[in-house]
Amino acid sequence: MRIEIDQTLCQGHTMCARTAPALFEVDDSGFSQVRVDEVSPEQEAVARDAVTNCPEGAIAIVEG
Amino acid sequence: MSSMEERAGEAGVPIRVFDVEAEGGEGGRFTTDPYGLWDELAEYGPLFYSPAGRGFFVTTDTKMMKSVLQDPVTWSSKPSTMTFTTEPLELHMGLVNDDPPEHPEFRRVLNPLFSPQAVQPLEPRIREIATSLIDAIGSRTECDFFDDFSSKLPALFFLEWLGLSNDDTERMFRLAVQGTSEFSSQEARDAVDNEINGIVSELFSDRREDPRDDLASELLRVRLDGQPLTQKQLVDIGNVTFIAGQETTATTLACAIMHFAQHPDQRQQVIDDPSLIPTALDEIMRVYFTGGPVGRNATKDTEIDGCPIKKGDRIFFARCTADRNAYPDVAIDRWPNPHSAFGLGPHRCLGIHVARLEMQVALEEWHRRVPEYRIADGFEPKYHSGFLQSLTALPLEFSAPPSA
Repeated sequence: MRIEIDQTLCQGHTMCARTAPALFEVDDSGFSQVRVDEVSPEQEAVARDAVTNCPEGAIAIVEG
Repeated sequence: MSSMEERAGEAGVPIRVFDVEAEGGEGGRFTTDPYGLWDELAEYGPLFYSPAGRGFFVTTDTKMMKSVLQDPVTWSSKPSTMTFTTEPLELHMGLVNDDPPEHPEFRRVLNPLFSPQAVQPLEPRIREIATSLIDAIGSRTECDFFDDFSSKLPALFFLEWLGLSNDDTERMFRLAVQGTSEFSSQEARDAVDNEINGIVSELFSDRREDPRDDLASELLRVRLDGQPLTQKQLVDIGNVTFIAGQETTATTLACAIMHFAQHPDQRQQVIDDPSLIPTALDEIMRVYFTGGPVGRNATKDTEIDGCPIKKGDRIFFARCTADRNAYPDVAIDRWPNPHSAFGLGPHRCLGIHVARLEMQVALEEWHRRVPEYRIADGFEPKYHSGFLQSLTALPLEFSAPPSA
Protein backbone atom coordinates (compact mmCIF):
# COMPACT_ATOMS: atom_id res chain seq x y z
CA MET A 1 0.00 0.00 0.00
CA ARG A 2 1.26 3.47 -0.96
CA ILE A 3 0.13 7.04 -0.26
CA GLU A 4 -0.17 9.79 -2.85
CA ILE A 5 -0.78 13.49 -2.22
CA ASP A 6 -2.32 15.53 -5.01
CA GLN A 7 -0.17 18.65 -4.67
CA THR A 8 -2.68 20.67 -6.69
CA LEU A 9 -5.23 20.07 -3.92
CA CYS A 10 -3.00 20.10 -0.83
CA GLN A 11 -3.34 23.48 0.90
CA GLY A 12 -1.14 22.80 3.90
CA HIS A 13 -3.76 22.24 6.59
CA THR A 14 -1.24 19.65 7.91
CA MET A 15 -4.02 17.50 9.36
CA CYS A 16 -2.30 14.42 7.85
CA ALA A 17 1.01 15.10 9.60
CA ARG A 18 -0.84 15.56 12.88
CA THR A 19 -2.66 12.27 12.29
CA ALA A 20 0.28 10.19 11.11
CA PRO A 21 3.63 11.92 11.72
CA ALA A 22 5.46 8.74 10.72
CA LEU A 23 3.89 8.88 7.25
CA PHE A 24 3.72 12.61 6.46
CA GLU A 25 6.02 15.56 6.97
CA VAL A 26 5.53 19.28 6.51
CA ASP A 27 7.94 21.01 4.14
CA ASP A 28 9.38 24.51 4.59
CA SER A 29 6.41 26.04 2.80
CA GLY A 30 3.99 24.30 5.15
CA PHE A 31 2.78 21.68 2.66
CA SER A 32 2.64 17.94 3.26
CA GLN A 33 4.96 15.37 1.76
CA VAL A 34 4.81 11.59 2.02
CA ARG A 35 7.70 10.19 4.07
CA VAL A 36 7.53 6.53 3.08
CA ASP A 37 7.52 4.52 -0.12
CA GLU A 38 5.39 1.75 1.35
CA VAL A 39 2.89 1.80 4.21
CA SER A 40 3.48 -1.11 6.58
CA PRO A 41 0.45 -3.24 7.55
CA GLU A 42 0.42 -1.83 11.08
CA GLN A 43 0.32 1.75 9.68
CA GLU A 44 -2.61 1.12 7.34
CA ALA A 45 -5.33 2.19 9.78
CA VAL A 46 -3.66 5.50 10.62
CA ALA A 47 -2.99 6.09 6.90
CA ARG A 48 -6.73 5.75 6.26
CA ASP A 49 -7.45 8.17 9.13
CA ALA A 50 -5.12 10.67 7.45
CA VAL A 51 -7.08 10.33 4.20
CA THR A 52 -10.34 10.98 6.09
CA ASN A 53 -8.81 13.89 7.98
CA CYS A 54 -7.69 15.84 4.90
CA PRO A 55 -10.24 18.65 4.49
CA GLU A 56 -9.30 19.01 0.82
CA GLY A 57 -9.51 15.32 -0.09
CA ALA A 58 -5.96 15.56 -1.39
CA ILE A 59 -4.67 12.18 -0.18
CA ALA A 60 -5.19 8.86 -1.92
CA ILE A 61 -4.33 5.31 -0.93
CA VAL A 62 -2.90 3.18 -3.74
CA GLU A 63 -3.35 -0.50 -2.95
CA GLY A 64 -0.86 -3.12 -4.01
CA MET B 1 -31.35 35.55 -19.85
CA SER B 2 -33.25 33.93 -17.04
CA SER B 3 -32.68 35.08 -13.49
CA MET B 4 -30.97 33.05 -10.78
CA GLU B 5 -34.36 32.59 -9.13
CA GLU B 6 -35.99 31.31 -12.33
CA ARG B 7 -33.18 28.87 -12.97
CA ALA B 8 -33.28 27.69 -9.36
CA GLY B 9 -37.02 27.15 -9.68
CA GLU B 10 -36.71 25.22 -12.94
CA ALA B 11 -33.93 23.02 -11.51
CA GLY B 12 -35.97 22.22 -8.41
CA VAL B 13 -33.60 24.10 -6.10
CA PRO B 14 -35.58 25.28 -3.03
CA ILE B 15 -36.16 29.03 -2.71
CA ARG B 16 -35.89 30.14 0.91
CA VAL B 17 -35.27 33.58 2.37
CA PHE B 18 -31.95 33.75 4.20
CA ASP B 19 -31.30 37.43 4.82
CA VAL B 20 -27.73 37.66 6.08
CA GLU B 21 -27.86 41.45 6.41
CA ALA B 22 -31.13 41.56 8.34
CA GLU B 23 -30.17 38.65 10.60
CA GLY B 24 -26.90 40.41 11.43
CA GLY B 25 -28.64 43.75 12.13
CA GLU B 26 -30.41 45.04 15.22
CA GLY B 27 -32.49 42.26 16.76
CA GLY B 28 -31.48 39.75 14.06
CA ARG B 29 -30.89 36.13 14.95
CA PHE B 30 -27.19 36.32 14.14
CA THR B 31 -26.86 38.71 17.10
CA THR B 32 -28.58 36.42 19.64
CA ASP B 33 -28.80 32.87 18.30
CA PRO B 34 -26.40 32.39 15.37
CA TYR B 35 -26.00 28.65 15.80
CA GLY B 36 -29.75 28.05 15.85
CA LEU B 37 -30.04 29.90 12.55
CA TRP B 38 -27.06 28.13 10.95
CA ASP B 39 -28.55 24.78 12.03
CA GLU B 40 -31.92 25.64 10.49
CA LEU B 41 -30.31 26.18 7.10
CA ALA B 42 -29.47 22.46 6.98
CA GLU B 43 -33.21 21.80 6.72
CA TYR B 44 -33.35 23.90 3.52
CA GLY B 45 -31.21 21.29 1.76
CA PRO B 46 -27.66 21.10 0.38
CA LEU B 47 -28.33 23.91 -2.10
CA PHE B 48 -30.99 26.61 -2.01
CA TYR B 49 -31.59 30.06 -3.45
CA SER B 50 -32.18 33.10 -1.27
CA PRO B 51 -33.86 36.11 -2.86
CA ALA B 52 -32.53 38.39 -0.08
CA GLY B 53 -30.13 41.19 -1.03
CA ARG B 54 -29.33 40.87 -4.74
CA GLY B 55 -30.13 37.14 -4.59
CA PHE B 56 -27.63 34.34 -4.12
CA PHE B 57 -27.33 30.59 -3.98
CA VAL B 58 -26.42 29.05 -0.64
CA THR B 59 -24.76 25.69 -0.16
CA THR B 60 -24.76 23.90 3.18
CA ASP B 61 -22.95 20.87 1.81
CA THR B 62 -19.22 20.29 2.30
CA LYS B 63 -18.70 18.46 -1.02
CA MET B 64 -20.43 21.21 -2.98
CA MET B 65 -18.43 23.90 -1.16
CA LYS B 66 -15.25 22.02 -1.91
CA SER B 67 -16.07 21.77 -5.61
CA VAL B 68 -16.58 25.55 -5.79
CA LEU B 69 -13.70 26.59 -3.51
CA GLN B 70 -11.21 24.31 -5.24
CA ASP B 71 -12.06 25.82 -8.64
CA PRO B 72 -11.03 29.51 -8.45
CA VAL B 73 -10.93 29.75 -12.25
CA THR B 74 -14.68 29.16 -12.50
CA TRP B 75 -15.56 30.71 -9.14
CA SER B 76 -13.91 34.06 -8.57
CA SER B 77 -13.15 35.94 -5.35
CA LYS B 78 -13.41 39.15 -7.42
CA PRO B 79 -14.82 41.74 -7.68
CA SER B 80 -16.66 41.20 -4.46
CA THR B 81 -17.04 38.34 -2.03
CA MET B 82 -19.97 40.15 -0.52
CA THR B 83 -22.54 37.98 -2.19
CA PHE B 84 -25.25 38.73 0.35
CA THR B 85 -25.34 42.52 0.53
CA THR B 86 -28.17 44.58 -0.97
CA GLU B 87 -25.66 47.17 -2.17
CA PRO B 88 -23.20 45.73 -4.72
CA LEU B 89 -20.35 46.30 -2.28
CA GLU B 90 -16.81 45.76 -3.43
CA LEU B 91 -14.29 44.44 -0.99
CA HIS B 92 -10.63 44.92 -1.84
CA MET B 93 -8.87 42.85 0.76
CA GLY B 94 -5.51 41.80 -0.58
CA LEU B 95 -5.22 38.02 -1.12
CA VAL B 96 -8.85 37.51 -0.05
CA ASN B 97 -10.15 39.10 -3.25
CA ASP B 98 -7.46 37.75 -5.58
CA ASP B 99 -7.72 35.06 -8.25
CA PRO B 100 -5.28 33.01 -10.35
CA PRO B 101 -2.71 33.54 -11.69
CA GLU B 102 -1.66 36.28 -9.19
CA HIS B 103 -3.09 34.68 -6.05
CA PRO B 104 -1.22 31.34 -6.08
CA GLU B 105 2.06 33.10 -6.92
CA PHE B 106 1.63 35.49 -4.01
CA ARG B 107 0.64 32.69 -1.62
CA ARG B 108 3.62 30.59 -2.71
CA VAL B 109 6.08 33.21 -1.45
CA LEU B 110 4.05 34.05 1.69
CA ASN B 111 3.34 30.51 2.89
CA PRO B 112 6.88 29.85 4.23
CA LEU B 113 6.54 32.84 6.60
CA PHE B 114 3.45 31.24 8.15
CA SER B 115 4.47 27.55 8.15
CA PRO B 116 4.41 25.50 11.38
CA GLN B 117 8.23 25.67 11.51
CA ALA B 118 8.22 29.44 11.04
CA VAL B 119 5.71 30.19 13.79
CA GLN B 120 6.82 27.69 16.45
CA PRO B 121 9.57 30.04 17.79
CA LEU B 122 6.79 32.52 18.69
CA GLU B 123 5.46 30.21 21.38
CA PRO B 124 7.42 31.62 24.37
CA ARG B 125 6.30 35.17 23.57
CA ILE B 126 2.65 34.09 23.25
CA ARG B 127 2.92 32.36 26.63
CA GLU B 128 4.50 35.46 28.15
CA ILE B 129 1.67 37.70 26.95
CA ALA B 130 -1.02 35.20 28.05
CA THR B 131 0.68 35.06 31.46
CA SER B 132 0.78 38.85 31.80
CA LEU B 133 -2.93 39.11 30.94
CA ILE B 134 -3.82 36.55 33.62
CA ASP B 135 -1.48 38.31 36.07
CA ALA B 136 -3.39 41.52 35.43
CA ILE B 137 -6.55 39.95 36.85
CA GLY B 138 -4.67 40.03 40.15
CA SER B 139 -6.75 39.15 43.20
CA ARG B 140 -10.10 39.53 41.44
CA THR B 141 -12.42 36.53 41.25
CA GLU B 142 -14.22 37.75 38.16
CA CYS B 143 -13.35 39.11 34.74
CA ASP B 144 -14.74 39.59 31.29
CA PHE B 145 -12.91 36.90 29.38
CA PHE B 146 -13.43 38.68 26.08
CA ASP B 147 -12.31 42.14 27.21
CA ASP B 148 -9.58 41.03 29.61
CA PHE B 149 -8.08 38.11 27.75
CA SER B 150 -9.31 36.76 24.43
CA SER B 151 -9.40 40.08 22.55
CA LYS B 152 -6.21 41.36 24.20
CA LEU B 153 -4.02 38.35 23.41
CA PRO B 154 -4.25 38.60 19.61
CA ALA B 155 -4.24 42.40 19.68
CA LEU B 156 -1.02 42.33 21.72
CA PHE B 157 0.73 39.28 20.33
CA PHE B 158 -0.26 39.32 16.69
CA LEU B 159 0.26 43.02 16.15
CA GLU B 160 3.61 42.88 17.92
CA TRP B 161 4.64 40.05 15.59
CA LEU B 162 3.52 42.11 12.63
CA GLY B 163 5.66 44.95 13.98
CA LEU B 164 3.11 47.39 15.37
CA SER B 165 3.64 48.98 18.75
CA ASN B 166 1.02 48.16 21.31
CA ASP B 167 0.12 51.47 22.85
CA ASP B 168 -3.43 51.50 21.49
CA THR B 169 -4.63 47.89 21.42
CA GLU B 170 -8.27 48.82 21.93
CA ARG B 171 -8.31 51.00 18.83
CA MET B 172 -6.47 48.29 16.87
CA PHE B 173 -8.90 45.60 17.94
CA ARG B 174 -11.91 47.81 17.22
CA LEU B 175 -10.53 48.50 13.74
CA ALA B 176 -10.07 44.79 13.10
CA VAL B 177 -13.68 44.15 14.16
CA GLN B 178 -14.83 46.86 11.77
CA GLY B 179 -12.70 45.21 9.11
CA THR B 180 -14.76 42.04 9.41
CA SER B 181 -18.15 43.69 9.83
CA GLU B 182 -18.37 47.10 8.16
CA PHE B 183 -20.37 46.39 5.02
CA SER B 184 -23.05 49.09 5.37
CA SER B 185 -21.86 51.14 2.38
CA GLN B 186 -18.87 51.37 0.07
CA GLU B 187 -17.89 54.66 1.70
CA ALA B 188 -17.93 53.24 5.25
CA ARG B 189 -16.04 50.16 4.07
CA ASP B 190 -13.37 52.17 2.32
CA ALA B 191 -12.93 54.39 5.40
CA VAL B 192 -12.09 51.32 7.53
CA ASP B 193 -9.66 49.96 4.94
CA ASN B 194 -8.04 53.37 4.48
CA GLU B 195 -7.40 53.69 8.21
CA ILE B 196 -5.88 50.21 8.45
CA ASN B 197 -3.89 50.72 5.26
CA GLY B 198 -2.48 53.96 6.65
CA ILE B 199 -1.26 52.15 9.77
CA VAL B 200 0.38 49.28 7.90
CA SER B 201 1.75 51.50 5.15
CA GLU B 202 3.61 53.59 7.74
CA LEU B 203 4.90 50.37 9.33
CA PHE B 204 6.42 49.17 6.06
CA SER B 205 7.98 52.58 5.39
CA ASP B 206 9.57 52.52 8.86
CA ARG B 207 10.91 48.98 8.47
CA ARG B 208 12.31 49.71 5.04
CA GLU B 209 14.61 52.21 6.78
CA ASP B 210 15.09 50.26 9.99
CA PRO B 211 14.50 46.48 9.65
CA ARG B 212 13.72 44.60 12.85
CA ASP B 213 12.88 41.06 13.91
CA ASP B 214 9.23 41.13 12.88
CA LEU B 215 6.86 40.02 10.16
CA ALA B 216 6.87 43.39 8.40
CA SER B 217 10.65 43.21 7.99
CA GLU B 218 10.35 39.59 6.77
CA LEU B 219 7.76 40.66 4.23
CA LEU B 220 10.14 43.32 2.93
CA ARG B 221 12.68 40.54 2.31
CA VAL B 222 10.19 38.43 0.29
CA ARG B 223 10.91 38.17 -3.43
CA LEU B 224 8.27 37.48 -6.06
CA ASP B 225 9.78 36.67 -9.47
CA GLY B 226 13.04 38.09 -8.14
CA GLN B 227 11.46 41.42 -7.21
CA PRO B 228 10.55 42.83 -3.78
CA LEU B 229 6.83 43.09 -3.10
CA THR B 230 5.30 46.37 -4.25
CA GLN B 231 4.00 48.82 -1.64
CA LYS B 232 0.47 47.82 -2.69
CA GLN B 233 1.19 44.12 -2.17
CA LEU B 234 2.74 44.87 1.21
CA VAL B 235 -0.23 46.98 2.29
CA ASP B 236 -2.59 44.26 1.03
CA ILE B 237 -0.95 41.57 3.12
CA GLY B 238 -0.60 43.98 6.05
CA ASN B 239 -4.33 44.79 5.90
CA VAL B 240 -5.47 41.19 5.74
CA THR B 241 -3.19 40.02 8.55
CA PHE B 242 -4.17 43.02 10.70
CA ILE B 243 -7.85 42.12 10.37
CA ALA B 244 -7.72 38.33 10.24
CA GLY B 245 -5.13 38.00 13.00
CA GLN B 246 -7.35 39.48 15.67
CA GLU B 247 -11.11 38.92 15.80
CA THR B 248 -11.19 35.28 14.64
CA THR B 249 -8.82 34.11 17.37
CA ALA B 250 -10.48 36.27 20.02
CA THR B 251 -13.92 34.86 19.26
CA THR B 252 -12.83 31.23 18.99
CA LEU B 253 -11.06 31.42 22.34
CA ALA B 254 -14.12 32.98 23.96
CA CYS B 255 -16.32 30.25 22.46
CA ALA B 256 -13.95 27.61 23.84
CA ILE B 257 -14.18 29.03 27.36
CA MET B 258 -17.95 29.44 27.10
CA HIS B 259 -18.19 25.79 26.02
CA PHE B 260 -15.93 24.56 28.84
CA ALA B 261 -17.87 26.63 31.40
CA GLN B 262 -21.05 24.94 30.22
CA HIS B 263 -19.42 21.45 30.09
CA PRO B 264 -17.32 21.11 33.27
CA ASP B 265 -16.71 17.41 32.62
CA GLN B 266 -14.96 18.24 29.33
CA ARG B 267 -13.09 21.09 31.00
CA GLN B 268 -11.81 18.66 33.63
CA GLN B 269 -10.60 16.36 30.86
CA VAL B 270 -8.38 19.07 29.33
CA ILE B 271 -7.14 20.15 32.77
CA ASP B 272 -6.21 16.55 33.58
CA ASP B 273 -4.67 16.02 30.14
CA PRO B 274 -3.64 19.24 28.32
CA SER B 275 -2.50 17.12 25.35
CA LEU B 276 -6.22 16.98 24.48
CA ILE B 277 -6.24 20.73 23.74
CA PRO B 278 -5.33 20.48 20.02
CA THR B 279 -8.18 18.08 19.19
CA ALA B 280 -10.52 20.00 21.51
CA LEU B 281 -9.71 23.18 19.56
CA ASP B 282 -10.54 21.50 16.27
CA GLU B 283 -13.88 20.41 17.70
CA ILE B 284 -14.59 23.89 19.13
CA MET B 285 -13.86 25.40 15.72
CA ARG B 286 -16.06 22.84 13.98
CA VAL B 287 -18.99 23.64 16.26
CA TYR B 288 -18.59 27.37 16.96
CA PHE B 289 -16.63 28.99 14.14
CA THR B 290 -19.09 30.81 11.90
CA GLY B 291 -17.03 32.87 9.51
CA GLY B 292 -14.71 32.78 6.59
CA PRO B 293 -14.87 33.44 2.88
CA VAL B 294 -18.49 34.17 2.41
CA GLY B 295 -18.95 33.65 -1.29
CA ARG B 296 -17.82 33.40 -4.86
CA ASN B 297 -18.97 34.76 -8.22
CA ALA B 298 -19.18 32.60 -11.36
CA THR B 299 -16.77 33.71 -14.10
CA LYS B 300 -18.51 31.58 -16.74
CA ASP B 301 -21.56 29.42 -17.29
CA THR B 302 -21.40 26.18 -15.38
CA GLU B 303 -23.67 24.11 -13.18
CA ILE B 304 -23.87 23.05 -9.60
CA ASP B 305 -25.78 20.00 -8.43
CA GLY B 306 -27.72 20.02 -11.72
CA CYS B 307 -28.69 23.69 -11.47
CA PRO B 308 -27.54 25.84 -14.41
CA ILE B 309 -25.25 28.68 -13.32
CA LYS B 310 -24.67 31.76 -15.46
CA LYS B 311 -21.64 34.03 -15.43
CA GLY B 312 -22.05 36.54 -12.58
CA ASP B 313 -24.15 34.27 -10.34
CA ARG B 314 -23.33 34.44 -6.65
CA ILE B 315 -22.93 31.61 -4.17
CA PHE B 316 -22.66 31.85 -0.37
CA PHE B 317 -21.15 29.15 1.84
CA ALA B 318 -22.88 28.11 5.03
CA ARG B 319 -19.74 26.44 6.33
CA CYS B 320 -20.90 26.56 9.91
CA THR B 321 -24.03 24.66 8.91
CA ALA B 322 -22.04 21.97 7.11
CA ASP B 323 -19.49 21.56 9.89
CA ARG B 324 -22.06 21.46 12.69
CA ASN B 325 -24.21 19.05 10.73
CA ALA B 326 -21.32 16.59 10.31
CA TYR B 327 -21.76 15.12 13.83
CA PRO B 328 -24.61 15.41 16.34
CA ASP B 329 -22.50 15.77 19.50
CA VAL B 330 -19.46 17.72 20.72
CA ALA B 331 -16.53 15.38 21.43
CA ILE B 332 -13.27 17.09 22.40
CA ASP B 333 -11.22 14.05 21.37
CA ARG B 334 -12.84 13.74 17.93
CA TRP B 335 -10.21 12.67 15.40
CA PRO B 336 -10.27 12.61 12.39
CA ASN B 337 -12.18 15.90 12.23
CA PRO B 338 -11.84 17.42 8.73
CA HIS B 339 -13.81 20.64 9.40
CA SER B 340 -13.71 23.71 7.19
CA ALA B 341 -13.17 26.42 9.82
CA PHE B 342 -9.90 27.52 8.20
CA GLY B 343 -11.48 27.47 4.76
CA LEU B 344 -10.98 25.15 1.82
CA GLY B 345 -9.13 25.52 -1.46
CA PRO B 346 -6.35 27.98 -2.30
CA HIS B 347 -7.71 30.71 0.00
CA ARG B 348 -7.23 28.53 3.07
CA CYS B 349 -6.44 30.75 6.07
CA LEU B 350 -2.82 31.88 5.78
CA GLY B 351 -2.51 32.15 9.56
CA ILE B 352 -3.79 28.65 10.37
CA HIS B 353 -0.65 27.56 12.21
CA VAL B 354 -0.06 30.71 14.21
CA ALA B 355 -3.77 30.77 15.16
CA ARG B 356 -3.61 27.16 16.37
CA LEU B 357 -0.48 27.86 18.38
CA GLU B 358 -1.90 31.01 19.93
CA MET B 359 -5.16 29.32 20.94
CA GLN B 360 -3.41 26.23 22.26
CA VAL B 361 -1.05 28.24 24.46
CA ALA B 362 -3.95 30.42 25.64
CA LEU B 363 -6.06 27.43 26.72
CA GLU B 364 -3.08 25.77 28.40
CA GLU B 365 -2.18 28.85 30.43
CA TRP B 366 -5.76 29.80 31.26
CA HIS B 367 -6.63 26.36 32.60
CA ARG B 368 -3.37 26.04 34.49
CA ARG B 369 -4.04 29.31 36.33
CA VAL B 370 -7.84 29.51 36.35
CA PRO B 371 -9.16 25.93 36.35
CA GLU B 372 -12.49 26.74 38.03
CA TYR B 373 -14.73 29.31 36.39
CA ARG B 374 -18.38 29.80 35.63
CA ILE B 375 -20.42 32.16 33.51
CA ALA B 376 -21.95 35.03 35.53
CA ASP B 377 -25.65 34.62 36.36
CA GLY B 378 -28.07 36.13 33.90
CA PHE B 379 -25.56 36.32 31.04
CA GLU B 380 -27.13 36.14 27.59
CA PRO B 381 -24.56 35.86 24.79
CA LYS B 382 -24.67 38.70 22.26
CA TYR B 383 -22.91 38.52 18.93
CA HIS B 384 -21.54 41.17 16.62
CA SER B 385 -22.23 39.94 13.12
CA GLY B 386 -20.14 40.38 10.01
CA PHE B 387 -17.83 37.85 8.38
CA LEU B 388 -18.39 35.86 11.53
CA GLN B 389 -20.60 36.11 14.56
CA SER B 390 -18.31 37.34 17.29
CA LEU B 391 -19.10 37.17 21.00
CA THR B 392 -19.06 40.69 22.44
CA ALA B 393 -18.60 39.77 26.11
CA LEU B 394 -18.12 36.77 28.37
CA PRO B 395 -18.39 37.59 32.09
CA LEU B 396 -16.79 34.90 34.26
CA GLU B 397 -16.61 34.26 37.98
CA PHE B 398 -13.91 32.12 39.62
CA SER B 399 -13.86 30.20 42.86
CA ALA B 400 -10.42 31.71 43.57
CA PRO B 401 -8.15 34.36 41.99
CA PRO B 402 -5.73 33.10 39.34
CA SER B 403 -3.02 30.90 40.85
CA ALA B 404 0.64 31.77 40.52
